[in-house]
Amino acid sequence: MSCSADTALLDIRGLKIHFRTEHGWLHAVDGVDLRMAPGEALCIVGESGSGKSVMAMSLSGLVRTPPGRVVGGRILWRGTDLLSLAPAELGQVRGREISMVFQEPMTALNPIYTIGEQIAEGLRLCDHVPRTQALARAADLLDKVGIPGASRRLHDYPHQFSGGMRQRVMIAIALARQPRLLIADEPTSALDVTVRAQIIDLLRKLQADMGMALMLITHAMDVVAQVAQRVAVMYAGRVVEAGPASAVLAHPQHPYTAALLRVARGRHVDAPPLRRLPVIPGIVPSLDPPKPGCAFAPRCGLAQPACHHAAPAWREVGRGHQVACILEEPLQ
Amino acid sequence: MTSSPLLSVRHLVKRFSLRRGLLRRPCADLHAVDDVSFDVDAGTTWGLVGESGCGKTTLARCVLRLLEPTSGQVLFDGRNIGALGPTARSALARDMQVIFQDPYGSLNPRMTAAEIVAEGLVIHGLARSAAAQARRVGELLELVGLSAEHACRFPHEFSGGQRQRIGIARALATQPRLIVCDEPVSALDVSVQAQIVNLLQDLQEELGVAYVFVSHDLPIVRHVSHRVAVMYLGRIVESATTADLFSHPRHPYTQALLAALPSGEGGARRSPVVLEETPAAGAATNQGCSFFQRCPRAVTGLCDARLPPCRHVGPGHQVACHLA
Repeated sequence: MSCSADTALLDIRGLKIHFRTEHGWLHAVDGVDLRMAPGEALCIVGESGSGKSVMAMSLSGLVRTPPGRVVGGRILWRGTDLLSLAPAELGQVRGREISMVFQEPMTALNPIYTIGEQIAEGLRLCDHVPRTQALARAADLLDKVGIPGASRRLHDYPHQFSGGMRQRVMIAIALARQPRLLIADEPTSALDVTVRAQIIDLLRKLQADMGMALMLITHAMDVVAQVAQRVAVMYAGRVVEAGPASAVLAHPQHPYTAALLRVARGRHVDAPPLRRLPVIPGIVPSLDPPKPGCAFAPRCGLAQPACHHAAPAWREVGRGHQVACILEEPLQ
Repeated sequence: MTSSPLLSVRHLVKRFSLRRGLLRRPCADLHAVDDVSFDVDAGTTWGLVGESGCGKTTLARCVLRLLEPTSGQVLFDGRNIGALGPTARSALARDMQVIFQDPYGSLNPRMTAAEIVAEGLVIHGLARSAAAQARRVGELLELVGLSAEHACRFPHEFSGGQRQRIGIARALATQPRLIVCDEPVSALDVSVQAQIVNLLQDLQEELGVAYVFVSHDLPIVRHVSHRVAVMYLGRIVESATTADLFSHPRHPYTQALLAALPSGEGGARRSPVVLEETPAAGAATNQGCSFFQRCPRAVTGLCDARLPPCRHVGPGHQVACHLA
């Protein structure tokens, strides 16, 4: 599923985003390389503070400047560097070609407008679709995201919807202008377990039906297995492993990926009960300017002296499967 | 089973009045906890699972008497907590401690880790001298995997997992026999959750403390609990030993919760039971089963008309469902 530079929908190269704080610069994203093919489902996996959300927000130009600052790298969207575009040109891309669904469905909707108005807003303001047509299209979208009685519920307000239903509305808004890329940032974290699975199923179905690329940001490995064609694992502001989901899940090459999978497997309810849950020792690193060497080395059981000295180079370990780790032997 | 449980909850009810309008007139009652009974044996973990809004936190707070229940009894060691005077109740606070969900909001930012952990010792007069207190704080920090050098630091200098360890050390300070853990790991990263869960289990083995473990995370609850109860809209709909509940769930709601979990390597789910979403937690109790509207097996005329009684369906396995 790997694609070459000229066919890529999205090609991020060496992206660095730093934030200024009272205590100095935080290196939230610190050299991310990532590529997406059109129509591809990519999962970004990482713990809090790994930089996955900041990276995704920068694609839509949502990183507030200041305190944030893109200090290096390029974001090539169908060949054009988004970082070099004027605000008006960027506006053409974001919202239309790239849209986003956020984690928190409770606060992302405006409480004083009806759902229909909020879905139709983009169509009316940006595509100048007349009101009635825009509302008709909104009803179609609500239907598509699985809200029963769509044309009736168009006139309801956000507080009349449950969390899962609001997240469906958010997805409908994001789909309104038929984006080429939908970014979903932890879309199910705020939802109940019985509802989570439904939202994930919906996203997967929409991605396949509409031929749109999906970037799903998550920390749950089981979601990756259900959705992703490709997966990128982030740690401390960098991508440490990327490749086809089947290869990464079955044969993780980075010790961090392997550890995340071990933790996830230890929690399967079908697995025989374990006396102790598998853990990753240590703590998630702070975002202070990185020390030389691999950021995961302090928590890595396989770390060698060399790991603490120089940042590992990006290696190809299989078709479209890359890893940033110096250990050559396959991990099991 | 021991002869008498450490904690017994009998017919606990907590109602909140919903008020509306300019004069804030009571318009309806919200039954956050509705006729809940259960027992927790000494040294064991009683897991409570349910989705947000089902009343599990309210139940935990009623057990701790952080909230005054509307009716019902909480017996600790055979004594009715509600009937105790202030002195006896404060003595009881030594035996019942709590670990909160939010490791950021539950520690006073102006106190050092040592002061936070020592507070219980001071309140209950458990340290004879300043030196003894410092020694005990050091022991407690070490017990939860921190070191004595952390004692003088303030909460903001710790990560989420470390803060939760401080919260655990604080709870352990008075050598309680029961700790109510209200979502103790859900605010933490996956890799750190397992560290805290393992710590709680080690402490149980070492100190024989019992836990009421409230969580929405079924795999974690399965891992830590001896018995599990499933709560839905204020009622316990099923309770059983952990192995029994996860292998033979009887209530349709429990079955749906389990079906929503991924299983096996591929992350595929078992048989997906699709639940309709409820618009919001039901404000008023109807006379039928609270799960009626979402239940895939509901029988009209039975489930919406009569409240299902709690029935024994196996050894230690109770279900509140007409059809199970």
